[in-house]
Amino acid sequence: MAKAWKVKGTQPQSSYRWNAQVILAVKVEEAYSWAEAIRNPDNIKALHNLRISIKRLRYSMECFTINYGEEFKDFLEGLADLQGQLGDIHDCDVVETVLTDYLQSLPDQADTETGVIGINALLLRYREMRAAKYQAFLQQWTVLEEADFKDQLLRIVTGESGAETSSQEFRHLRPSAAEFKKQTTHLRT
Amino acid sequence: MAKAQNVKGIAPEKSLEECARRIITTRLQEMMSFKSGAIDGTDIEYVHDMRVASRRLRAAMQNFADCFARKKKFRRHLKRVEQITHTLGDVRDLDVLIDRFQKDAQTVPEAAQIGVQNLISHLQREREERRAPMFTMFEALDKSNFEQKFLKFFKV
Repeated sequence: MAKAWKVKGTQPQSSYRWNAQVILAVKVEEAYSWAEAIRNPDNIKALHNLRISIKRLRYSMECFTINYGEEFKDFLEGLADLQGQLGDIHDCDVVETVLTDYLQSLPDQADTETGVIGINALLLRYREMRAAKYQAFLQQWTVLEEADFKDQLLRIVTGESGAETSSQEFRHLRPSAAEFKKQTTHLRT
Repeated sequence: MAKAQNVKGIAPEKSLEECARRIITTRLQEMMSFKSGAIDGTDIEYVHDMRVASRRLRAAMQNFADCFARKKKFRRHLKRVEQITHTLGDVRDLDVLIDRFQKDAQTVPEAAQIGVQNLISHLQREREERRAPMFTMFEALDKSNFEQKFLKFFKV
């Protein structure tokens, strides 16, 4: 897991509002430093690092909600969606490792054969699920990229004008939790 | 996942340091509020909520590090919180896997049932092993008066 970027330039005796801009701008850049690497579905490490960075950004934003308006909360929810999608991909990656290790640990005897069938069935199921979840994530990521999500977020956290309208535009781009669930439910049954 | 508690007494025009102290102490209390549920272990959400709260606390501590002049002591507290996240993470990973495979067990074909059930039993044993370091950590936190010392250091 990549270390959190150090935030420099905060001023303890300056206002909470002013410092929010300094801290959050760094956190946005940290998260987006993984933007290119995650285009490769097999780059498990980059996807994991993006997930952790988004988590750090989200928890940092939660600290500063009081300094911002309603539009800030829309971005916070957008990040929570992304974190959830990346979390699902990560869970599939963890399952892959656990099942593979478990298979290797089974004794090579006939009486384990039925056990192997079950684990292989799970492996297949999770590989399919992972592929679908990655596609859903990438689709959402691309939509947000086209909508200038990063720049809009930076404008909001640094207090630049024009962000209110952008947030309203962005709201329509978020898939509802129900829609996302629908997209992937068939893989669970 | 539990929502972050509201922090009382913070305002945009107040100094970062005062707000930082209020946020960090609130997050610490929030994290510790899940401890007894995590020890009990019946509801797996307590370990999860405590871990998430520890991550929120870490994020706040890292962001506000410049507010604290006594760096060595600050780092010691941060390390402790990091240890809490990691120890709870070991347990949480298995809670999630067991829960997931238990649901899978109901939907895989009959021929695959035995394998999935064996896997669940294997993970349940491992879970018990991983809860032991968590108990040791909680005991160590109590013995060292971690919570009281932490709150004293960060109080407004």
